[in-house]
Amino acid sequence: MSFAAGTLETALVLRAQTQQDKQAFSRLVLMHQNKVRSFLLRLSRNAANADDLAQEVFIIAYQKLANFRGSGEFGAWLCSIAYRCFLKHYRKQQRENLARDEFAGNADEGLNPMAADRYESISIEQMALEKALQQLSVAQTAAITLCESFGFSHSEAAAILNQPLGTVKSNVKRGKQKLREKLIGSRQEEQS
Amino acid sequence: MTSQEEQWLDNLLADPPSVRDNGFTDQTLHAIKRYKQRRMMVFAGAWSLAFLLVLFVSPWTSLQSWVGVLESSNFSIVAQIKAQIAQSSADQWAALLSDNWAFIFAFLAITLVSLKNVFLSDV
Repeated sequence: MSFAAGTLETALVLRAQTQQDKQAFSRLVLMHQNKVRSFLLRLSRNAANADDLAQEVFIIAYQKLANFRGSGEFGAWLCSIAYRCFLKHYRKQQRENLARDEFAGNADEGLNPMAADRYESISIEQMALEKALQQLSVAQTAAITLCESFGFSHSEAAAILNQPLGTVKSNVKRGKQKLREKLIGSRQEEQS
Repeated sequence: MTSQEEQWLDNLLADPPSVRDNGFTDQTLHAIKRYKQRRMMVFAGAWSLAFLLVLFVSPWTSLQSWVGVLESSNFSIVAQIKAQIAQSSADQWAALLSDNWAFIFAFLAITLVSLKNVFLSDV
């Protein structure tokens, strides 16, 4: 984030906190909705769920805005709320799936396909990357998205995900290794 | 794995596609507005319940002193309730309720709407 954008963001957060300024919070939603929704879309692998969760994230952020002390980036704080919301939803969904599988004997529903019209513009390579990310574990996807796509440091990502630094570094490394294998393997197949 | 391929993957990861807004921002702001309205209704409902409790329960409990406090503020219904309690016949209670039905109805309505917003909201 540039210095000017950071200053504007700080000013907006302060206005929203101290003056309960709705316009300031609206601008914060507008500034961060893409990051939060992209993050949740990669984690949940379902556009509708991602948007529902993102809406929940912003409502929680609004409720708990007074708790944001400004010690880090506002976007990082939103990502930490998003990750907690996702984990809560994911665990609930797993319990429901388990109960349904026990009832119906159906073990695998498969992943929801990514719709290209969810994005402003997406290249074939980016689409291939999004699909490859779906095949990683949630922890690897989260770590790679935060560190490689959003530019957070490993320690910032560790704080957001509430995981040890070593775990985050390892997830980034192993996740990227898997991505290389999948993406470069499919590129070579296309070329040959 | 060549360094060129490594660089290609890093560049690809560093350029995530933007998600379309598709009315998300407006919907979120609307949801926040509804949350604020609900919070206000809960607040109003809580006060209504508390007020009703003070009016109708305190004469028989240790909270009876509240009646005096409210009476000193020239709130006529409190004086009526106190007078009714002194005589305390079923007919007089009925008269009290019928004389103040609009007041009681308004508080009950606020309370019910608040409860509905709390328990039947989709946000």
